[in-house]
Amino acid sequence: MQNHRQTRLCFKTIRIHRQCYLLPALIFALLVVGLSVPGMTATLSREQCAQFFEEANNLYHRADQITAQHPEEAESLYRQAAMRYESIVAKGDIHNGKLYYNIGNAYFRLKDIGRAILNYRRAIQYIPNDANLRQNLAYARKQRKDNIDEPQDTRVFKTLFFWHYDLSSQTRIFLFSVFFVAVWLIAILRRFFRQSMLRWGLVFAVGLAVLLGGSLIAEAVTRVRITPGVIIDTVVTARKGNSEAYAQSFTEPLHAGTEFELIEKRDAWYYVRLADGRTCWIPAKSAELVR
Amino acid sequence: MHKRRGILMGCIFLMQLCVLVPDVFAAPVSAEATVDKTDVFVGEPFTLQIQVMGSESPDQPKLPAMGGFNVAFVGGTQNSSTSIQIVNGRMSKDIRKGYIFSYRLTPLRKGKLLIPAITVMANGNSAVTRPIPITAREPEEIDDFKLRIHLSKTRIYVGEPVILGVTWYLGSDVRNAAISFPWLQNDNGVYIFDQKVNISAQKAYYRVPLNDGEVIGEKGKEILNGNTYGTLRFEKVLIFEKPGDVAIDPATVSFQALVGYRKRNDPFDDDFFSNFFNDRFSALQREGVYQQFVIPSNAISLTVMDLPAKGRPADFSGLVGNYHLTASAKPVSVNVGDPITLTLELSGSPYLQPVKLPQLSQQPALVRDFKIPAEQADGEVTEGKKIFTQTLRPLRADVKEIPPVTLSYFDTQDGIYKTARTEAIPLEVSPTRIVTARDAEGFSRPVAVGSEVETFSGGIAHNYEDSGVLSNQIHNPVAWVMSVRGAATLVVPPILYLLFLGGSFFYQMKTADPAGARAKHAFTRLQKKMKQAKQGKNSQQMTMDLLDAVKNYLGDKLRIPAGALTFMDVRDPLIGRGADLQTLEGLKMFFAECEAARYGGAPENSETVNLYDRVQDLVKTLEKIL
Repeated sequence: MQNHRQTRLCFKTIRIHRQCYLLPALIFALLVVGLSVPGMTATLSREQCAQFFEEANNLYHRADQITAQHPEEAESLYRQAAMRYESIVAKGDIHNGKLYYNIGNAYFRLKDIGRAILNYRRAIQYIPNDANLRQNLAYARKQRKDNIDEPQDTRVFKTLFFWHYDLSSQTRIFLFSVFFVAVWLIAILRRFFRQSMLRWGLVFAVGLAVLLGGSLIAEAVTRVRITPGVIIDTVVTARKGNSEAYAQSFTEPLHAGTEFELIEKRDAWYYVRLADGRTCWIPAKSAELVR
Repeated sequence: MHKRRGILMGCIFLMQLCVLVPDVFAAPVSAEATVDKTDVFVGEPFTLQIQVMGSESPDQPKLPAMGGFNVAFVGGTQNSSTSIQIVNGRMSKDIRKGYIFSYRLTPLRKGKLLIPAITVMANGNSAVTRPIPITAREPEEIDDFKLRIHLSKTRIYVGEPVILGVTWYLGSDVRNAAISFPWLQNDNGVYIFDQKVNISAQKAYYRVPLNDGEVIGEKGKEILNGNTYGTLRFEKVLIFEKPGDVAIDPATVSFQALVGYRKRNDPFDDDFFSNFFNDRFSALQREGVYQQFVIPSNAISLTVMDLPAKGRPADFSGLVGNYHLTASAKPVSVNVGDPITLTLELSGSPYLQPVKLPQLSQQPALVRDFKIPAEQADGEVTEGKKIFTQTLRPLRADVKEIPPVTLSYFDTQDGIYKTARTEAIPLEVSPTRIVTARDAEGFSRPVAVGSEVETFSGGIAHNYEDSGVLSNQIHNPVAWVMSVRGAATLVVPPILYLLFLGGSFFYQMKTADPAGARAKHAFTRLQKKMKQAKQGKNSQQMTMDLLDAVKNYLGDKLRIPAGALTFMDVRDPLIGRGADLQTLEGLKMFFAECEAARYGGAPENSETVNLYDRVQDLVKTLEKIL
């Protein structure tokens, strides 16, 4: 009788162990399904987006080929390519770092440094560690007229919290999801297997989930608190107040490509903080916000 | 309700009354001017205090013109007090508000002077002080102390620096000294600045109050009129801007001099630390006696000559002295329009601080070949040189050099005009090409044959054309959390874990107490077996099945083996659980009848039905107590 009971207990334990191996598969399946949910507000179909994309690429190639001999015609082609890329964003509701990068390139060829930097900044939200994007953004920044230094402490932060600045949001969300699920999975497994490897695995997963989760929370807070923008007009007179009646803030006007953080929007004026910490008012029509 | 509202309104009214009382019954504002002395020497500073009563925050008064005084605002402080008196158990509170403005006044001339009435504004009210007459006496020189001023030259040119030295000769210890030199404060058309003091470790230096500021004086020792004095000396540099004869009015110094010692009357009525520093350590049993003195200096004059018109260059800069000018430029290999930083170093004169470089845009040779900004930065004095920097942009590719920069000045030693001139700086200026988009990307830059291949940082990289460009990417953590996928990722794993935890808990509970689990479900099993027994083949079999069902039920409930259970086995446990006698009797009869049926043959069907009903009633009663 006793032996029979022990046999039944062992059998049930084995059945539960098999169930716990099925849990991660179920959770990962949910995760994968979730990550592939498409955009909901598109007015262009996927096929139309693909067609626009191909047309834009062809226009860009043709412009590249004739820019040396016929710069004016090439400029027109670059502009058409930029419009098609932008239509994919606006009407296709596709937000992709490489797409914004292509738009930035088209505007760079049009010598529109302001919009080039604006779209590179948009792209860097999605693909911050893309070498080409970093190079193009750095080069575009060199082309702008205003030379405003970035504060040194920001660079220090970027070095210390490299995963926050160097990994894209999508990558961090994916990694956080993996480690978050791993935490619960290992917690379940530890109900059966009291191995030190699982304990250290749990500590590792919790640590990384906290770091990545903290990074995502910090980004969410930053997105609420900081709205970056770029001046797109060739020349803008920065003023000390939100009308033309106020005196200019600086002896020299600001130029296209100068980046700022939006502090306040009042009527048709932006109150902005430049990279070196100085503040001023600029007309809202002279700039665009990164997000 | 109305009564409560009335009480509430009354409380609010009282609170408002308490708040308003101080303003309603505020004392009227009054003002009084006081001085610490009315009989002073010329140059001797004294304190004027304007006491405002009735307000803690009056406006700072605008002083009327006070000819004959040098006025300096020292500061202001609140002068409020609160006193409480309790007489026969009744407390009265007296609050006095006040404010004091302090000024330091220094008479500039002898005679009867007047501090006029001063109007003070506070809380919208005004108050006026009474005028105060002051008698200012001419200071007189004394043997132990002298004040001397002198010039390094008495005949100078306009723009030529001259040193004004002030020496105070001291015959004994002094304290609370202040020098008044009104001439330095007047607008005499003179540029005045401090002579640089070269601090030496072997010498002693003191800060001496001078007019509204202070100056660093160097301690020394000198012989004057055959007497040896300790000295305190400082210098000012004067540069006159206009020609003419100039008389420099005397300065005065006011101080308290040690004139003797007296025995300390009460050694316990003594502020040890203050006198320790004011008196000598050896004089602990005596204290110094100080007397106030004000002594004048001598008066001096000089002649400022205009610069000669003969030989004056058209580009004369106005500089007087002896100057050297050198120049350097960086970079020297540029394209047309590129900026070149031109650095000019001016040296020669020890007093370069006020020197300004003439406008480079006025130099024809430079203007011809370069674009020069209209604004010109002030230079910076470093190590005996004044360094000026200026940006130049070459206008053409044929510019081969930065031509010499010239600076005309008047040399006082030789009495003639001279010109300092830099060396020409060779340049390589290349023509600027028209910049296209390809240039901006660096495509048309020539590559040196055979040179080391380096990464070129210019230009932009290629477009992305893969299909991944058209996939949506997430970059907003909040949007991800609000999405189905984000919410599922965050919620599902913890819920699954909790479900698993709950299941595991129940399983452990079950495996830890199997008898308890059987007891819990015993009644259900009994009902099921009784129904099966009712559908049995014959009445004997039904009776046996009923007996087995009841035995198993009692065995499970009482946690005893059910196989050979008898009434005697369960009687005591049931009594322990609170079973009544009727139930026990019924159960005993049931066991007896079933045993009788087992060995005595099948009962009648009607008896079996009756037995079934009795068992139903019996187990329902037992279920309540087990």
